Amino acid sequence: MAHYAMLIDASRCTGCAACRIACQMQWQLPPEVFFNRLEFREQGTYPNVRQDIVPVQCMHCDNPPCLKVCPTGATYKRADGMVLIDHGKCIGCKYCMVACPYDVRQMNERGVPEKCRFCAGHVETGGQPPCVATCMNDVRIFGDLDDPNSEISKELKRRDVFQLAAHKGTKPRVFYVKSKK
Amino acid sequence: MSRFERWMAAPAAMVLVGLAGAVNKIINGEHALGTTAAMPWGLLIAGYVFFAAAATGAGLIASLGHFSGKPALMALERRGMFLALSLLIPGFGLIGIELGNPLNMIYILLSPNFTSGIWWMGFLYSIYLALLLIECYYSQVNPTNKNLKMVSALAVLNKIAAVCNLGAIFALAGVRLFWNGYYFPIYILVTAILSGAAALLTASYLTGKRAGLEIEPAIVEALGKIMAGCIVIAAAMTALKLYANLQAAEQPLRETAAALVSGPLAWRFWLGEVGAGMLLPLALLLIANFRAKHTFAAAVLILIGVFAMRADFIAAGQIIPQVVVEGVQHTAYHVYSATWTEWALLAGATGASVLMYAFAEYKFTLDAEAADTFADPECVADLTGRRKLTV
Repeated sequence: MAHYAMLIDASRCTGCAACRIACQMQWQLPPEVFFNRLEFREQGTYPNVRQDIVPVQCMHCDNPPCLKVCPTGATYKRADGMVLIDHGKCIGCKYCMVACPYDVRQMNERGVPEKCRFCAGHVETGGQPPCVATCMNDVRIFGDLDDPNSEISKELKRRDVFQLAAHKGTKPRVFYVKSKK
Repeated sequence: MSRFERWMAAPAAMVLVGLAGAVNKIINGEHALGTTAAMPWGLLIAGYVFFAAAATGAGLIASLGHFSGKPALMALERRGMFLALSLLIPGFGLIGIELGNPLNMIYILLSPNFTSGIWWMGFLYSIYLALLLIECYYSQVNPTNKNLKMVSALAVLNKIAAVCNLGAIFALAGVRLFWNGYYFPIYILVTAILSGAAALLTASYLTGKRAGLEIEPAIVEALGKIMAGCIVIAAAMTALKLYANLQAAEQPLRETAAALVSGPLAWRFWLGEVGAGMLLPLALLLIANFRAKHTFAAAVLILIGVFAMRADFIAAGQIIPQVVVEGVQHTAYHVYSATWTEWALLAGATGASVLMYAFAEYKFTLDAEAADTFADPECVADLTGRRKLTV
């Protein structure tokens, strides 16, 4: 059984937002709905300042707060680590949106609070999520943590990483490379 | 058109306005609401909490009448049950319209998630509705039925669990610091009784007025004392919570408290929650020593104030942007502005509530009966819970 995860090297991000657009194309999302976003952070003091760009999306947490609060089990976690939504069960109460510490849920046209799907269905056939494949700077690496020869497994061993809002106990499956700057 | 029909024209018009809002929500979905991804819960959730909590409060006071043996409260038992029903059903209507996919509610039964506060809310309030219907039925058909005592006892436990769970939905949202902890389950219980008492007094006073009757002073005093007591507890809880949050180590907590005290929520907090919900009614109650007119005015103010409380705490829990990436500069506050659809739905629910209660008053016997209520035969004149203005 695969265990999917993602590694993001935010220091490589140019902020072109191709990841967001590729995702919107993949899932045929309207312009106002997006499953990944970029956060911009200013660092340092004048004149020594720089801007970090941090891609943020669903973290496919191992301890997902959105799953615990969903009254009908519409949000569920697969054995391969993906947190997905059964649209047919969702009542649209938006409790998952309130409970998500990453603010990644977006209400779609059908009244379902949607989010990144880790491109389930596409990646099992060997494909890469479009946000990964389209990135010109290889900001994202997606793969199987159970495969020691996968690129993500090797990079996670080699590099110093962290997770966003890890203190909230969500155990995210999206890892970030620590900046050297 | 009779005077009664003219009186009912306003709530009927409000229901029509509400229907227009409902049609707009059904056609345009989430776009009809002012809610956003950052502030997903808005006025409709506040409205639902207001109606559901007031229904529970009115039901608890009705139960208090059943078990306390106090004549003034016993006289309110039936009226409290029917009023609770008239508040609960429009409340359900509001939440049903707010939901993105209400037809999928069947999965609350088919695939329940017991860790979800909303699942428990659906479960406990469905039971509450069923028990209320049973209680209302027996009160009209067979008030001396021996099973009624057991149903009422079950209903009391259910009401307390339901309203505390309503607070727990927010307390267990996890990442919203302002809502976390044991505070809101208790706060909602106290303010539910406050709004229930206010709704009960308003309903009793107005329906009595229409019939040319005056509300029994003992009832006014009993409800007035309940309201005054709840105001004092709620005010102390609010003051302590805000003081503690303003001193908290966590920045989001400090910012949320500041948003209420001196930020974008301040006008509603000070004018609505504190002014209309606490200070003015408390002054009216104490200065006028629970005289009917003043207590009625206090009750109306309390209903306005408690609605402001609901709107405030829903907004306050979401208004501060969450820190996802350390060091990112966000706007100070998320923005939420209710749309006409949300206001229309709220007006519709209020109108429906008034109409349902008026229908119950017209159709059923809501006044207590001699055998159930007063042990003392001297009190026969007061059995209806009211006395003639001319007496």
